[in-house]
Amino acid sequence: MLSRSAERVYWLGRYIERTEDTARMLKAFSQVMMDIPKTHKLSWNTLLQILSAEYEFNKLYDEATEKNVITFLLADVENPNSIRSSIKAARENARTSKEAIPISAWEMLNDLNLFVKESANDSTNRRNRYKFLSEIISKCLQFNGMIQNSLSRNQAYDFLQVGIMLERADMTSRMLDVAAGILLRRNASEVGTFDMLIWHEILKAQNGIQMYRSLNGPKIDPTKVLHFLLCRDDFPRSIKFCLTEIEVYASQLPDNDEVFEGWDLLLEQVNSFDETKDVSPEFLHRYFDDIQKGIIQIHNGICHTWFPKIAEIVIEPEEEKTDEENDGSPMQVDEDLSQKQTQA
Amino acid sequence: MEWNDYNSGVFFDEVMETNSQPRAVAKELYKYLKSLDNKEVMARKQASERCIKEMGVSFTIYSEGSNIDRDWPFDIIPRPIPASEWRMVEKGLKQRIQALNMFINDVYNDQKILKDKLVPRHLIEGSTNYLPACQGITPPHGAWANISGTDLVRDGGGILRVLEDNLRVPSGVSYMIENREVTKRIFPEVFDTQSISPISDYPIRLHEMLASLSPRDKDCPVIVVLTPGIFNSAYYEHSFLAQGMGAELVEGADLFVDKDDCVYMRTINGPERVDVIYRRVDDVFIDPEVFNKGSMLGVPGIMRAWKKGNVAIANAPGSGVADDKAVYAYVPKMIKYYLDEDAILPNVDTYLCYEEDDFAYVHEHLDELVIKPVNESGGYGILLGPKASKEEVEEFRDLITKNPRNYVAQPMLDLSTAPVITDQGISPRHLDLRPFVLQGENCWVTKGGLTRVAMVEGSLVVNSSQGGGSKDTWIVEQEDE
Repeated sequence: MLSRSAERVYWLGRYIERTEDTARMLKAFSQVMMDIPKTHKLSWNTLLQILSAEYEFNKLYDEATEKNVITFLLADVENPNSIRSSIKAARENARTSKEAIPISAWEMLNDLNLFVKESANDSTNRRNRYKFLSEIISKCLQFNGMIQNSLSRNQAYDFLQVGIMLERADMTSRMLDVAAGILLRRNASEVGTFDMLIWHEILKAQNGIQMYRSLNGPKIDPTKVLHFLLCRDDFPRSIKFCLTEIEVYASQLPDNDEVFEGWDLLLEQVNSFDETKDVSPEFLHRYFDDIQKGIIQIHNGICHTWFPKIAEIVIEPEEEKTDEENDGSPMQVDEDLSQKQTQA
Repeated sequence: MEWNDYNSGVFFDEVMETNSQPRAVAKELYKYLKSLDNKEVMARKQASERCIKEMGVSFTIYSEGSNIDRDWPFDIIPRPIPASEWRMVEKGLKQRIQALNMFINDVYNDQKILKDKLVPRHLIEGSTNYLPACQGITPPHGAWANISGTDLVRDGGGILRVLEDNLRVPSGVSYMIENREVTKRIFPEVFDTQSISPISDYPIRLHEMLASLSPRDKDCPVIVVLTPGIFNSAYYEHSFLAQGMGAELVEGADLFVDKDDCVYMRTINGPERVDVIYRRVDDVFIDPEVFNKGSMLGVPGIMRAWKKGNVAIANAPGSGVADDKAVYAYVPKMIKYYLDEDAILPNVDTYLCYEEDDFAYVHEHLDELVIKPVNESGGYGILLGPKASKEEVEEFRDLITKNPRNYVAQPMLDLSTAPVITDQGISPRHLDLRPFVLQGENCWVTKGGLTRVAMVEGSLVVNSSQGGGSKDTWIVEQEDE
């Protein structure tokens, strides 16, 4: 497979998953905000924190109101990680690697891109939002179904899956990091009931509520929810599962030593979450930091090993992001650890 | 939306204080509805119908031997209740269920209340709901009716009264939860300006309560929901609750009682012991060894297992003895007798046809009263005196004379109203409210409940099997409280 095509397909996987996960997150957050009484509502800024998009956001908007935040994340073409931009980027990557994917999947992406383009601006209000986001999620799932059922298990499939799984692990860890950071630090007696609703919605966002219940019963325990979404071997949206999948597909690709550098350490870090013990916010902060670093290392390994031009992400977590213009090169990455990786 | 013609007449209206002024609790709701034009309201009504289809919320009605699955009927305008009032109702419901459980435990054990002649013995021992097989048993925490769905109505003076206790297998709680989901989708904006109590935690509370009944001291007891099967009118709810609790949904044939008198379910890994059964099967069908010999719905030997304390059954078999429209009349006295408290929630006046004075009164005023058979549910077999024909009235006169124990009479109620959307615009309709009370180790009441509404103008029949609809119910925390 051409390096160039491999890179395109990898990014296609990442962007389609980013589209779906962003939609899932906006839907869950919008839902739970209706359940929480006025006095205990979360800030809409939380969504920006999860996606590390506060900096970009503040360049464009004054205040993190519901309308502004949703518009920014859903419809804004200026935001490279909005749903609108993500699906456009997914389609662009598919357009330039059309030979690698089934025609039906390509058409699905066109359909999805068109749908978002036509409806995004009218879907920022609450009334239409639910339906719009549900539709996006279902179209992304259709795309995945087409890939599963009609793409040969070739190298394109491997790169696509690696892209999807790495993005999923990334998005999940971001969401849990912020949620745990906010919720576990709150005064439990004061907001206990409403926090349960939030954890419940996080599980729902991952389509995991039923699987969680059949394992743990209906009681929502933050530690168990975290363990379920981090470390379950058998739940297809857990971080552990994503990493295992990446291992399977990356192992089939040639010269993969660099990708697996530090792999054992990363798995050990993921497994260090012990659901039988109380977890402190400090432990979790380190824990998610390690996972984020691990994900970036894998990404860099993949780029370095298989893709045409080397573009690495420098790990400097504390630094402000530099404002960079897109120079039109095939690969555009951000320099900050916390910033979402993008490719033009 | 225009409210110009809205007139609830002499009835207490839940939303409007006068024909043009909303109640304080409905201020935000009214303002919001007013801001939408007719076209928009109708669009949302259609969206709600579509949403219910998409979510697959349905109920089954029996019609001429066949079963028809119907979409759940829902009116989009919510019914608001002030949180301050609800705190009082909660207290009243807890008090009532506590007394009722003490009563049930008493009649199956010491029968003190019968010996003290507070409740006539014939009323209990002559009741088909009194199950001698349950004598001498005290279930965990003395709780027999673990799940009850008390029907409340608001009279013309605005007072909430208990109409029925529903201690057998009350249904409707899943619809309460689904109604909120629908409202969130079609009116997402209204949740911003006010504090409405969330209700989605019911399955968790139910699970907690059921777990508190487990005979084995385990962190995760095995809990199952026992359904009569897919043809039952509440099957939707059975699967909803099983799903919500992460519990298995079983039918009689999935369970068996082994030589050790424990209950097991048949799994691909072999038998697995069951600790708690939430039964949605009538108690006389649960064990063909003891009750209805021909029952295919039950589990042979399950009563044996229950009596030995090897399994908990909720509601406990025999709980129905207190869910009888004649026994109902005695509940305020029970509260005084067992708790030495006055009833917080009043009853509806009830005439017992087997009492001589009451019988005479009922005979004279048959065309003014509502006559109810003591043992029916679902609104069947009722005579609404003022609305009935002469022939119907005489038919009931015969029935009552032949079997006075079987009937009670109540005055025609001025049920409160609330606005609903009809094809002709907004119009008042009568409604009731069914909150759900859980009693295990602790007692817990839903925030609100299921509001059922009679969709036909002037009608008082709210049962969904007879054309009733439903509304989302809000407990609203007001700022000036």
